[in-house]
Amino acid sequence: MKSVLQDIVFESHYLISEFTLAALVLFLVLMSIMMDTDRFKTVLLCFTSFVMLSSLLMLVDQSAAIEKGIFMHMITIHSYTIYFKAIIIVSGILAVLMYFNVKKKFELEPIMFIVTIVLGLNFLISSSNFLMTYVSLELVSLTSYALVYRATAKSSEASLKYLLYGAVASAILLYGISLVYGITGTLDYGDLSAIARDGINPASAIMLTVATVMIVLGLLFKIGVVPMHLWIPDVYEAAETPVTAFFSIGPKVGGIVALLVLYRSVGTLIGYETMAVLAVATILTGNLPALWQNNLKRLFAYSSIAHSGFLMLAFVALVGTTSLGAMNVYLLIYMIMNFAAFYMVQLIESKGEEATLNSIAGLGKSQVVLGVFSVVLALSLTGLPPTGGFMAKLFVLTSFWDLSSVMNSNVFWVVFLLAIINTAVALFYYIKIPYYFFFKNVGDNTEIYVSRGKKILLALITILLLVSFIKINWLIDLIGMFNY
Amino acid sequence: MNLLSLIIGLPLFAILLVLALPESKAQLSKWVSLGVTAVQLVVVLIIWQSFDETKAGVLTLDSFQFVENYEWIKFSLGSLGIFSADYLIGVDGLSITMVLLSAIVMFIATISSFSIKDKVKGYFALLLLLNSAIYGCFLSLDFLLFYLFFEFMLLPMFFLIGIWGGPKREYASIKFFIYTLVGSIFILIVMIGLYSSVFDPIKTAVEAGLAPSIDAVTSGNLEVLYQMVHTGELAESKFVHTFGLLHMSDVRNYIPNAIFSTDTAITIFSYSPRLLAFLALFIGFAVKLPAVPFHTWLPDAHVEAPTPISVVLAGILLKVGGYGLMRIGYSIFPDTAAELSWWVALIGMISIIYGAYNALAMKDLKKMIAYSSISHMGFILLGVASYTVEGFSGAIYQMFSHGFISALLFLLVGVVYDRTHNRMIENFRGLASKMPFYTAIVIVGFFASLGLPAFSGFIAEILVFLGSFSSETLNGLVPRWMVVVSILGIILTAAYYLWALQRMFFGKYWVKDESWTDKLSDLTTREYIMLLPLAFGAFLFGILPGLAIDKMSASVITLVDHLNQAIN
Repeated sequence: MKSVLQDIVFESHYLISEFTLAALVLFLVLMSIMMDTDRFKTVLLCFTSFVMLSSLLMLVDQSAAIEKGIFMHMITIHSYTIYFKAIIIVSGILAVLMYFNVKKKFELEPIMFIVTIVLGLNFLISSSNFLMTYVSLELVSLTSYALVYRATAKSSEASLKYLLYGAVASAILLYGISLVYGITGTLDYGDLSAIARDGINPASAIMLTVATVMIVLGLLFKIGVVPMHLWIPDVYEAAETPVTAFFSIGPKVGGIVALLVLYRSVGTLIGYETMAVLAVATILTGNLPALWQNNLKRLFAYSSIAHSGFLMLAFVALVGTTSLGAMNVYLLIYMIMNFAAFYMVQLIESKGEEATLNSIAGLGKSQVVLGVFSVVLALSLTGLPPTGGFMAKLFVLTSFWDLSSVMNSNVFWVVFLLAIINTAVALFYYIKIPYYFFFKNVGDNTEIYVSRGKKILLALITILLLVSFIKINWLIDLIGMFNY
Repeated sequence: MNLLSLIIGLPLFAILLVLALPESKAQLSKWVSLGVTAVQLVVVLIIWQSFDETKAGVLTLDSFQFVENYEWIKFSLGSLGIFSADYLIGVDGLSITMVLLSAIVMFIATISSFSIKDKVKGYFALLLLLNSAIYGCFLSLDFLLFYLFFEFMLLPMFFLIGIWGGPKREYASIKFFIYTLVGSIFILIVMIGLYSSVFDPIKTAVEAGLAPSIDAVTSGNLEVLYQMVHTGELAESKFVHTFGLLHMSDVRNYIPNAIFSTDTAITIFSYSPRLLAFLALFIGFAVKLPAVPFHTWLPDAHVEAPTPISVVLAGILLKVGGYGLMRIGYSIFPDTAAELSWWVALIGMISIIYGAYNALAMKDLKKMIAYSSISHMGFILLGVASYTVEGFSGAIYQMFSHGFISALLFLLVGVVYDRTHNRMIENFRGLASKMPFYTAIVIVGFFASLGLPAFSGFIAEILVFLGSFSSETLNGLVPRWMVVVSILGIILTAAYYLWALQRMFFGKYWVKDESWTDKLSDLTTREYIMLLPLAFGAFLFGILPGLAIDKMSASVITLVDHLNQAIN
């Protein structure tokens, strides 16, 4: 017993990044009670993002613990997960920074919740035991429900829906885990993979299949993959814009990497073909309703479902061909694009009304920088050159192509074809944004004011999206820094 | 001197200049654009003059001219090999005529754009962007680079039609965008497949440790490399995947058993992947060309586009389709392209006849000319399907000649439209007595387009017919009856042009709206400057075809040899 305690104390320094985040959460709780948060908004936001940034840098320490089961084999750091943790933390930082633009009275709770979710997600993708997986997933989920709630009718409806769907998803996951435990007597990924290798008797195998389907469904809920995507549009629309932006990256990365860790450490849970079909179904489910959206946040919600589909394609290609490249690049560029998109939504919302397509009609004529930004962003989200979005899609599709030619099954070719044709479908709704910006005449809505600093920021993001096409090497070098 | 990069890069710099102009000096952007196109024209003429006709290009990089080659992207994908793309541009006999055509048409389109009144800066910035993308497309020898420029032509066109176009401009611009994008997606699929199947032998030789650097790779090294690849000695992680178009047209550069290699065991729905690949490329470029049944975006786009944009669209952009088909479709998939030759020729024939019939029925003069473009583009398909030197020369010549003639015709329509804001054939009669000089140039344009001897269109069509007619006995790819039916298309062409001429220009002067009479003055100096060079070009290349044919013949012979080797 003593040695176990010793181990835990000794191993703590590997998780210094997570502990920093945990300390930050506690600190924010205290501050929210003690301080006039609205007055110290700038200080608090800067401090929070600074601490999160330092926790990002502390991830370096984890490279020493790679593939060592620590904390009684509850946590295993894999060489490939460190990068995803970095992505999650960066998306958290960006979401926190977006609060600078939120006009109404500043409260600290959302910031606190975002940090908590980042913490939970980082534990989720380090987990090597189903118990740990479940606990960290619940940490993420419960905080998310609270984060969506904003005391308006729309958001209370959305957060209740989210809670109900989420609770069911959690229950399914938990049921799956309990079945696994019942059949195998263990929750440890390493033990399970040994059992999977040695084979189990056919009767249990069927039960185990049921259990794995349930576990995968539970995780798909976080990623927003069909059939677990129903919560996304309402929640994205109702949540505050920084929160929506964060939801479109953080939890998705958490979910998909948790799934990746399962596939890599335990074994293939659900076959590639089924996953590929789910992926393309997700792309369609996202793209088709998006065609009829007028509310920009809802439009981006459906677009994010479609992007989840692409992420799943990258996932299938990844587990099939063991090349991480495509998913790493896709996530990084997707993060840039999505935060850019929601930043635009935020600028439009600064008029004080919901961001709809009608509310941007004709704006491109007076706000040229915003207009050009919207064009490049739409191209990038569609996946057209010369933007990073094209490179991201190109990498996903090439690695999926490689998988298809190895597997040589017609299902894969059909999936590939549908996925690529969806680029054209996606164009139909993304192009509406520059279309409304430039082609529509200015309605009776008031102009928006974009300060010089914001214009420079928009120009920088535009350049970033273009540079990530021309100099994709730089992004890849950047990603390389986090791969050990 | 990096002349080609200068041509591509100059407009991009000019865009910054145009955007930086203060609103009060917005009119200056016209002169900036004109200056850019003038410099481009001069540079292109220098290239044209110093072009070495004996160097074939097409398959080997050494015989391309003005080549610029820089590494663009390269990184390892672990077990999947190495991803690489180059900034590789050069010119050969297939592209030199297109480059000259682009320079002339862009120059004239810029002059024509001087009549644009609102949002001048935005218009010229987009026109310059389009300009750069066009040259990029014709000069790229790397598929990724080509695709970049190919897609990048869409966006400026979308806005140029959508903002400065006619009443139904929004519909037309979106239709144009979606059609071309769907087409380009088919091209993207093939690009991805080729990328994963083809390796760059030179870079791979370096990776495999056969040579210290790219420059030091000898042909001996390559022999060793091909041997290693053949025996499967080379680890998969050592393969440097490439987008190089020239590497793709050499069967030795395919990774054994890769999906697009000729020996592949893979089938997709029991079709050979190479067959499907050519089909996809064909559809992609046929949308751009456009060939029936992918043509419906073109009349809408033309009708709504402002005159200069119609000129660029018909004069240059359509040629990208034909050029891409030769440079990419036929060079890389000569074996399966031959299997589909019958269908390609059939679509060519249908385009010729169907386009002409539609033109006959049109009441709008611009729409009539748009359909005549579709009809003329059919000749390109008929020519390339024949796998003969005459057919290919004719196809390229048709693109070149149609560039002059269609630009001329759309400018001529613009003359009437600018004055009356109407261009329905039935609303005018006897314009010859009112605008004699205008009518004279119209007659030249119409006769050039219907393929009268002494004009460039005649040379192009006769070459295409010669090539496709001999195809049945030479290689049996194009049946003779298709050629015969296509020749009948010329009668239809003559019919719609002469009929339009008779209805609009001859007879007693009459216009639907009396107020137009004052506006219908004869040509202005600016219009002469635009129209005469084009008319002269159509005439010059009609009586001295050697001027252009000599430039391309070495390349065409090399390409056709390459094609015929693949089918024998």
